[in-house]
Amino acid sequence: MLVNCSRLSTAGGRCLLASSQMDDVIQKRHMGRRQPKQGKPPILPPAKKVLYHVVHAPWQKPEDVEELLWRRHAYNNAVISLREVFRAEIAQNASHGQGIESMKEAEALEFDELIAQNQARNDEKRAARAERESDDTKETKSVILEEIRVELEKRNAEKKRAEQEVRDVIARSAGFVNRENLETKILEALEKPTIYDFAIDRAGNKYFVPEPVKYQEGTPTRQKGRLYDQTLGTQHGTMEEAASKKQNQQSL
Amino acid sequence: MRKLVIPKYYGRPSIGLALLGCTNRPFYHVCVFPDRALGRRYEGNILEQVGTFDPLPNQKNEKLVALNFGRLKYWIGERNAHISVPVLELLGLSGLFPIHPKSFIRAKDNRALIADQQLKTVAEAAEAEKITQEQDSSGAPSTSHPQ
Repeated sequence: MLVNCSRLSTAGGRCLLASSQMDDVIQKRHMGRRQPKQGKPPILPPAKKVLYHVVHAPWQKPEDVEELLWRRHAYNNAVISLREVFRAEIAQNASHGQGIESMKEAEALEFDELIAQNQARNDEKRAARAERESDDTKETKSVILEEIRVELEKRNAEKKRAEQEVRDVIARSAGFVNRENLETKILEALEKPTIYDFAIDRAGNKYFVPEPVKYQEGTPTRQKGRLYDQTLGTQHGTMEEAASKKQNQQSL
Repeated sequence: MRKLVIPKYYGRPSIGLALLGCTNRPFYHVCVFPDRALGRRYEGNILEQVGTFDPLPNQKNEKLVALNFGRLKYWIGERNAHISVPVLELLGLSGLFPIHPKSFIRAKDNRALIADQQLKTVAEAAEAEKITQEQDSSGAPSTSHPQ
């Protein structure tokens, strides 16, 4: 409901004004909307400003007073009658099944109905959800099974490859040294020593210093490194020489 | 000495405005209080809220009031509640009650105020016109005599 009464209310309303003044006083004491606990804040005597302040309300105009007198008389009578009317109306509503009790019953009925509707809708949704979930489960299951199959295939392939690799390694390890053939291998190595302590030029000529001997005779030299570079001042092989050498070896 | 409760009226509910709002923003709830003697200050005293009243005019220059007529009828009729004057005025303007006598007086005062303002504006306009005429009449001969 809208009431356009801005001008009416702004001009006067002493009751409103008085209550707002009181609120100002209260707000200055920092009081809230909740009732404070007993004794907090301490009950103080009224301030001097409040105690000795006499409100001088302006006198009303005599014609207003006169008008208010008969208007108030009529108004108060009307209010008394209206109270009776409202009471009768409420009683009549109650007797005709429009009172609070009937309203409560109607609301309870409506509530039950709404609950039933909600239940029905929930059931529908539950059934739909169950169906949807079973479909989803089947689909997920198939996807997972497919993934497992792919993974197993991959693992099998990997296993085969690894086995093959191990077999190859075992085959390659036929000439390896082990406990059984250790003695023979040592003897073989002694018969065919391989010496890597040499210098080499671009043509692939190897220069051994000292010259390798199959069996060491006498005391070996204490000096292990070369005294000087044996290849210094010698005619080093060239790339062409090396290529020809390689060709010769291949042809042989 | 002021009595805390008046036995004759004690226990009679009262319908009034509860000031809720914050700094520079008044807002009233139309509330039912247990008794006039217990005060309207605290939230705990409110029995039931039966409406609202926004005293600040909105953009359309309206002060919005909301009232629950059903509950008001119950409290007024069944419970014989006392109603404060501001609420009586609101009820009169809303149509549940006849117009409150104070509303008539206030309307009369406002009409007088508006009439005064209009008279004042008319007088000011007439005075301004007179001044301009005088300026024109004094300015005309000065222009007719070139130096």
